[in-house]
Amino acid sequence: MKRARIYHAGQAIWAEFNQTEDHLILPSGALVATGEAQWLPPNLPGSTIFALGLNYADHTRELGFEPPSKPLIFLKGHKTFVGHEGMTPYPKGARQIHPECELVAIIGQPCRNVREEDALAHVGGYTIACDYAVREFLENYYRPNLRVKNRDATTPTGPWIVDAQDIANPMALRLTTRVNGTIVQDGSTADMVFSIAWLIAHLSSFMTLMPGDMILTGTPHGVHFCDPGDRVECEIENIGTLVNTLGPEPLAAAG
Amino acid sequence: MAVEFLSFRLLSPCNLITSNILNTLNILEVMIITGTIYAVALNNRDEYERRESSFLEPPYKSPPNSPVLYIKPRNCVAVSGARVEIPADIPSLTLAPSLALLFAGTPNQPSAMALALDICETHASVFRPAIREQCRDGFLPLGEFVEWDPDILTGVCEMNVHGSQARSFDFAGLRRTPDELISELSSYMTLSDGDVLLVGAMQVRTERLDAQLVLTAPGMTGLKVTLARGLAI
Repeated sequence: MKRARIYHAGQAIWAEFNQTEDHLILPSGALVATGEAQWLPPNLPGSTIFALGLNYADHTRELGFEPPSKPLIFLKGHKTFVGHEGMTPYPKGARQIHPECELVAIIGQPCRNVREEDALAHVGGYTIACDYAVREFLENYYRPNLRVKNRDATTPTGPWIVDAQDIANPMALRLTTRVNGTIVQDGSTADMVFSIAWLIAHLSSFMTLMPGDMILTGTPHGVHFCDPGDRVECEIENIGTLVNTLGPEPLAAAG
Repeated sequence: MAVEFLSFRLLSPCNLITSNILNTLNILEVMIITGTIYAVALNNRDEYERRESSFLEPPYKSPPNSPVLYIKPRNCVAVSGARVEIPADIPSLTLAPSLALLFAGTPNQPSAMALALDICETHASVFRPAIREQCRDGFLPLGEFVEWDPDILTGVCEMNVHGSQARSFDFAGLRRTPDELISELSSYMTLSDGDVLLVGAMQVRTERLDAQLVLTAPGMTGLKVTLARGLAI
């Protein structure tokens, strides 16, 4: 089953796909053709958003770091999300913005002190995020700092959530990113340093995870700086393709 | 009146005694924050100046340009009267009494405020995010939200630790005022729809991990917190 959060008749609403996946079924039973849906990021307000840095060994070396012995985890707010087929503002005063295709695990049940071998049973579903980074704004304080990773509408997420039971092995999915049709990232979730199950066990060893919390699990190698107007597609096998367009060159007065 | 509106719209106090998870914190009331809670580190002038020379050394290499932000996730939120369990593997706490600004109306303008006690495990480095240190369950007790009044910034607040002398704190020593913080942050992120910003005030390191604390400020209801040493997890 796939579920999506869409904008419909003046409100945000959750809907399920029908069997042929050409329509979304609203809670009222009404149908919306998928081609006409206005996609919202599939997040629950208030939930905790974890993201991983340096969680693929090849990407870590590409950035000049040694693979970490403990995970680099940071948090994100909600206004940094933008839905499928949305637009991300091109940052003013920067050229080094690069897309990061990431598998997102969404917690489905409360978790506290979950064992690694039981952890995946607490995942409700999976989606895709493009966790853009803007390298010029990196600072060495709680790095990656929020000016890099929490910019409004700079984390496209979606298009939808695929139920966990429909993903046989989340640790063996191909991820690709295309910019204007050219592949710039091509990796596999098999290359994660810290697995989804390990991360859930680790986080739940010191804090309570709740349904709707998300873990953006990091990105493989392939740093490609984008230009204004670029079309960026992040695809993950068995989940879908998340499409985002970067906005135009910012006006001089913009922030 | 603002409180009622906020209670209805954003804070929805509800009784969750059936939840085993919240029961472990002994919280009978829970506060729902629909936005994201941001906090500012290194915003106390004295503390910053004490550490300033180290910011020229690795891994920092240069002083911070932008406000140094971190996020307190929802599992941290507790209400006044909460008993916050301090896990036994934590040797030392840093307590940061602070002011929480709530953005519930016009974007980037505070509409309400509450006293807050930002609790974290003491950590020297601010190079990498400190999730384990900052994000334990119950590590952000928040007082009752009342209508925003900028006069609070010129008043003197107190932190009373049961059995010790009260310590006063104020907001005159902030490196960036709330207005300056909001102005800088809003150049890349909007504060609205239930977001909260903790402006920072002072930091007190303590090895005393069983304590009753009360924060007070002029015109505001006190925030009571009990720190209780827990079992090793």
